Amino acid sequence: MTDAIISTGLVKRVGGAAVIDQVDFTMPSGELWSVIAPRGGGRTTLIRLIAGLTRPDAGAIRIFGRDTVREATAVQDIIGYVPQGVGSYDTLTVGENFKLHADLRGVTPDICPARWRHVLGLSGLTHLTDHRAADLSLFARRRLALACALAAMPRLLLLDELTAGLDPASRMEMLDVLRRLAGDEKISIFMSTTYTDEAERCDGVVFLTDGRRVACGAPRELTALAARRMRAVAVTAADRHATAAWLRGQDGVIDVEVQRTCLKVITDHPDREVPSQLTVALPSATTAPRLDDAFVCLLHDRGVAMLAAPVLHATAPPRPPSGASVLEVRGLAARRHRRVLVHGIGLTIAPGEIVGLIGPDGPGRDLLIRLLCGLERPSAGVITIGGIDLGNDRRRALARLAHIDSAASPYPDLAPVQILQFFASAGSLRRAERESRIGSLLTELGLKDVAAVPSGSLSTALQWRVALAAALVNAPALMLLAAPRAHLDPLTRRLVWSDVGAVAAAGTGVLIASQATEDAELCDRVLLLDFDRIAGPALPAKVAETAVQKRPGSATLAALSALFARLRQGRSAG
Amino acid sequence: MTPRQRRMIALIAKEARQTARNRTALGVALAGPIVLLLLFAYGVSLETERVPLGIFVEHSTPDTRDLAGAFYNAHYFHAVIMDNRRVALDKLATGEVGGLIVLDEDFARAAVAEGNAPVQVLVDGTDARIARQVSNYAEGAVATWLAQRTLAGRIGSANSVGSAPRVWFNSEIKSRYFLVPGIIGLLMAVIGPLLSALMVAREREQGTMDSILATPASPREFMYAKLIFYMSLGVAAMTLMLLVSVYVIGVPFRGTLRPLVMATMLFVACNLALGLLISITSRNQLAAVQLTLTTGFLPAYMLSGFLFDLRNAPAPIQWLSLIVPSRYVVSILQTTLLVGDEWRILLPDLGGLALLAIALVAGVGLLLRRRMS
Amino acid sequence: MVAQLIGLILKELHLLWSDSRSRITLVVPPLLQLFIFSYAATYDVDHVPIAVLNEDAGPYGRELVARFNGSPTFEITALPTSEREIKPLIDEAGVMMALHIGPRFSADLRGGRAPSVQVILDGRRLPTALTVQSYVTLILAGFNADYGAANGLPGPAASTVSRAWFNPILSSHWFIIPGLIGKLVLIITLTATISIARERELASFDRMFVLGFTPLQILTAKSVLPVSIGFLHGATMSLIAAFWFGVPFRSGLTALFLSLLMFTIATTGIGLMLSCRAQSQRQATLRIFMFFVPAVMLSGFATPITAMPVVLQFVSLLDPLRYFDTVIRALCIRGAGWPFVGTQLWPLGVIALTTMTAAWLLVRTRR
Repeated sequence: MTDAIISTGLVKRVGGAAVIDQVDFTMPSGELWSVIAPRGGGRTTLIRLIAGLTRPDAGAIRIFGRDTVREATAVQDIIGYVPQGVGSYDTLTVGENFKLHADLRGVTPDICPARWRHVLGLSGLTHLTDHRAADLSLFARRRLALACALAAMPRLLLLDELTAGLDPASRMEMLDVLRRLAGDEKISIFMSTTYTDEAERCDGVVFLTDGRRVACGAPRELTALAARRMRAVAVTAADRHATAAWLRGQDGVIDVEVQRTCLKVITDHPDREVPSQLTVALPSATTAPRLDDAFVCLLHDRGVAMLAAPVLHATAPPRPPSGASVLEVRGLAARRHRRVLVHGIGLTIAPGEIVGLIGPDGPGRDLLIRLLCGLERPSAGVITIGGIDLGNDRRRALARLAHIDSAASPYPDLAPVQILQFFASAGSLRRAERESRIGSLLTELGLKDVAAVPSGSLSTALQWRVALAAALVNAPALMLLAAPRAHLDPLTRRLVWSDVGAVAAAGTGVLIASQATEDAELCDRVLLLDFDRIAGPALPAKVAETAVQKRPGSATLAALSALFARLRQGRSAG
Repeated sequence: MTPRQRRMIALIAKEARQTARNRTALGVALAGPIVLLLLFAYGVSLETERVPLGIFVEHSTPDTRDLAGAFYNAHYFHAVIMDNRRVALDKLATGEVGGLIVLDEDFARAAVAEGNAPVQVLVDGTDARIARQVSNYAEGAVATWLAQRTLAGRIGSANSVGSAPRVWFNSEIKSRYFLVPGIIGLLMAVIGPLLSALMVAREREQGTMDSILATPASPREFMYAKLIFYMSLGVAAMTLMLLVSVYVIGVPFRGTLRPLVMATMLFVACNLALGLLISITSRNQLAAVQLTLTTGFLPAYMLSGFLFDLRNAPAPIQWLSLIVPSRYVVSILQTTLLVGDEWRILLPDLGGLALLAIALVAGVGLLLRRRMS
Repeated sequence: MVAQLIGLILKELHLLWSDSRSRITLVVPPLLQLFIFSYAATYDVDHVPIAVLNEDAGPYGRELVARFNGSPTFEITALPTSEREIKPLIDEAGVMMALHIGPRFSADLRGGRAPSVQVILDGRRLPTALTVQSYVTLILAGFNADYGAANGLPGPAASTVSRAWFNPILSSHWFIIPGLIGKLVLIITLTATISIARERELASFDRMFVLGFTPLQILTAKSVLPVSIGFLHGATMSLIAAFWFGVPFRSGLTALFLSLLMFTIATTGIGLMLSCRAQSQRQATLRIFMFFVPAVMLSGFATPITAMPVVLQFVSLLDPLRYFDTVIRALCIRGAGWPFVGTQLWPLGVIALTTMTAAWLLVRTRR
């Protein structure tokens, strides 16, 4: 049987720079593969090259034996493609969107009504055909885009970040659909993703960095690369960030991942001993390498070093009176469009504490964050940031808060130093003080050499550091970090985690709003979010916290996932 | 039906559905032009009417009263009599009056006695065109007054040559007739590019363009389907405007439909292709907007011959105007509406427009192919 | 407070300056357009092609033709031999005007019967036709005066002496170029303000609120750039108008710059008001377009405001371009003084204040 995709010596340049550089791989027919890469690593370009939407500068791609350039028409007849973004027309209904794609591929619904029903059924849209695409949820829109690509039952399906922005449960559900398509319908699928947990469920993975192939193979084989380089170090909740920071400075340690009760250490080669008496044998579930870990090893071996963890001297916030909290929320309630979305929230964060606000994207989470940022007024309740009442003295309270809305540079067109000067101008520092703080932040966060370069051109890791530096420039008491996981590659994700640990160690309280249950591992405490409103700490958060305390390690994930599943069911029933 | 035809029909149907459900687009394409056309056709005129005119009378006599009365009756003036020279001159200096008729002591004396009484006409030269018209009208008013007095036999006759001007195609000298073709050209020159430029930008942002292009539909099919649909929308808009011009505004229609239909289609194609070119080349919407406003509206306003007769402009400017589609369409509309099917004017204009349309549409195709590789 | 404002303004400046393409689109096209349009836009006519049909055998017909021939305004390009030949000449736009002198012209003139010549004008190009007509009147008046003097006839009971104040040579450039400046400044300022909608799409509006900036500060920072860009362009263009095109600036520059500043503030206010609540840049653009086109048409540039229907005259009171056009012309050509400038500036001030307040309220409520 012919292979679905054969890429040989593939090169694509944009403005002189190679976006795809000598990429070779062969994907057998009937499999589900993924390409995983940091932002700007060439994922989208690779998919567009395979789809024949752009031409390679060198090398070739063959789809079931047909060349994408010379036999473009033949190739387009057998592929289905879902681009990034919504990919369907807002003002058309689900049925009309689907019909458009069916018509373009010459399979009108009146010719094959059976297929029409079949495809809509596959993507679970049968009952939604008369709804306008604009009215659908993100998950349903992605399924619609998938259905459109499936209209002619292609032999190869190309998916560009089909799951981006979805909550973990929806992502896994989507992957179930894809697995079924590959298994039952014999459709070969090549998808791009930033999530390694999705890649782990694929038959093959292509890992790109800077347009070059770092690794390619079955997830299990790749994961095995890291097997003998993993160590576990037992820690207590109180000292884990400090220990992690110390370990990161040791010889032979590539990376330290903070978990609830232990640190996962990756070493530079299999025989390296971790310089600690605390190395313990933990249940294999904890130290078993994941695909994530394998990528860290692979990148290290390629000479891609992780940025050094910062030692934050300049940014330590003025300590509040002992015992005071950096955030105190009491009886918070708010509604939007007359619907109560936030109700009875109470929450306290101590200096240096990392609290997770874990739950899927939704209006409730969005509203809670806007309330904490002072963008909306609560209908009841009090928010105190760094000891200052947000409702009474908005300006001074906000001066104690830093909000990172995305891990990328806040102004990609501006240079880091310009961004820092702008953020600093919002604070109350004097000019000389400001300049010295900006200078030391740039040094501590490794941005000194790129201080005058447009930040949009920096690597993902450095862009995160720019966002972090901007947040820290006014020495906030509380740092609010929203959706830090979205669109990040494994390496940068780890960097974000270690940096957040350092920020907390310097005395700043951190609130992480995330939809990924894995993020719970990093946090000192976890609050669980319902779909439409915050389930106050009374019930679910308490359940979650006990779950976390009772079952350490990866069991936390299972507990949280189960909780999510319950919440989802409760919602769809209601 | 070939697969290509089926794809084109599907794509065109998609555009139609989207537009039918998008009230803003429909408003911009159909309602906006009609409202603006009516607004400008009735609001804008080149005639100088009701120009405030001061009449300074130093010494009131029957003659001065008689002459002043002549100015009162002329409809292009709004006359005010003043008896203070300083105030009168001041009003002219501040622009409160557009012209000043000075009837001083000399006039009162000479008019009765020796003839050749001096009537001083001072006009505000700020707007040269209006100044010229005001002084013409004023002189005309004086001449009419003289002629009436000659008839009445009060003053001896004088031999003089008069002129009997006839303005062809527009005998009532209604500037509305002259302006309407220009306004139609102007409005289409902005609406066309604006519609197509913004629509493509949206498809790009939402990723819908890519999902269509990965099907057997080629980029050119995608763009040409857009072009065809918006062309029919544009032709509908222009037809509406022409109907309103002829049946509501009352512009004469002396030609036939054939050249008009050809010009309309070519012109709409030019403007839409221009919009597509802008949206394909510009990176963000802001640049697209700026380019649309600068390449659409202002050249159509200044270089189409709508307001300014390009034959009076330097040669390089005349050459430059050859790439402004509105220039041709304004001329074609003026000819077919006001003159008739004068093919010796229409052919070069239609030819120029066709060349431009071909160049622009081919440019869209070429650019698309370049983008793909 | 001041330091915060400076920080905000610097950010806007850096953002604008970092994009090389917007840097160029903001600077080059407006200046280029000023040159192109200034040369294109003229009501002055010369060497107008005309056809002359002289059926008169006497000397006066020939003399009249000679006067047309000698005038730099006209150029005789066709000599039709019958009335029938005139029609195609005009239809095909070969000539702008046809002059028809009847066979009894000299005889009538000598006989004191006040003969009349026929003048046929191409009404398709009305502005030119009207101007040409006034030149014909001028030539005939000269002919009459000389005829009367040569034949010792008494002059008419009254004679008119026309003088154009401020612009004795009646150059239309003096009027048109200042008008162009207003239009170009309007377009530059409006497109610059669209950046506020762009910011909204990038979600950084919220970011500024979270950083503790007040709506007033944000609005001020958002206004400073469009105002200064518009102002700098306006000032540059005024200098080009003065030194390149020879437009007189009789009132000096202080009043001009003050008016320019007021105008750009009012325009920015309108732009901000229209775009700060827009859902997308597309919507902001459509709104600004719907404002821009009527603003240009009702400004009194193409047609005098006094010639408009009364309703539209009232509407034009809301048009900032109307006041700026009036004041810049008064300052350039008429050398108007401060009292007059004041009468045009206070409405601009009212527009600026109203729209800025509206924009401030809109920004405030969306927080």
